[in-house]
Amino acid sequence: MSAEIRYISKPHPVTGVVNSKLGIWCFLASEIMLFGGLFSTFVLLRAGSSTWPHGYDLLNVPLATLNTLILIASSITMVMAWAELAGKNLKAFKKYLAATIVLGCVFLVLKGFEYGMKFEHHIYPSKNNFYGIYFTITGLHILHLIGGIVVNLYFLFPGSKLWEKDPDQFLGRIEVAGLYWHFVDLVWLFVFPTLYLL
Amino acid sequence: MSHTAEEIKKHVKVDVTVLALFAFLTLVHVAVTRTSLAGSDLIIAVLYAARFGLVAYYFHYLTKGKSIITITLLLTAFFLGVLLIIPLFK
Repeated sequence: MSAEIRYISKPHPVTGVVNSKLGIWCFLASEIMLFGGLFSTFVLLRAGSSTWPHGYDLLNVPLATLNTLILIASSITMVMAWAELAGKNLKAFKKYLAATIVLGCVFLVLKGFEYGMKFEHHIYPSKNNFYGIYFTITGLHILHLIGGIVVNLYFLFPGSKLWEKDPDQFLGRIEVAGLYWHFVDLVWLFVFPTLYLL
Repeated sequence: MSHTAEEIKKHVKVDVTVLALFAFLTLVHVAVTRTSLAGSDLIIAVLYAARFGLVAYYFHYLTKGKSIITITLLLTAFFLGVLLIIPLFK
């Protein structure tokens, strides 16, 4: 019995897409529900509370704005990485993918500073509902970003060997990794105004 | 899964345009929050709507007319809407 995974380079005749792409979209759909549940929790807590602090009074807006721009820039470098690979330029692809990873790490470092400032003032998730939901949503987002960085690191180093063996499959993997990275970016684009600016 | 140079160029153009718009909307949102403009609530509501519109457009673009993905996302959007509306009912 063959253990070969089919339709990884050519579209499946029933779905019209390669299996990896359908898989990542189903995964992203489940992620939308996960973050949607947390946003729903935010709405529930805020609507049910007689007083609710403004995010911009408690959180570091300039730092988060900078982080937003960094994450958007990382999405652009991810697109450029895919474009260079589609244009069969592995060297330029690696350059842009490395830039994406670096920008992701910069985001994490700045977020670490932000968390550090909170912890210095003995502000933890247990302080109140606002900080509870703030740490939960941003913490989950950080975990997703770390996951994306790990995947991109894999494709930058050992995973890139697939390019010589099966370029189409490797390009498909980068496209799928890119979709995930964009999703993580888009989540932040809603987290930022909801938690920091409302 | 080969892509023509034209397709790649178009893809990059759309992606960069959408992401630049997101950056612009973010800066406008921060500016509106930092200044006490009249009607800032309305502006913020418009900014949220613009964000949702951009995400919908972007996801629609990324699916490239593949109905199975579109159906998956529409179903997700429906259930997400339900999830967000549930807290409003006591």
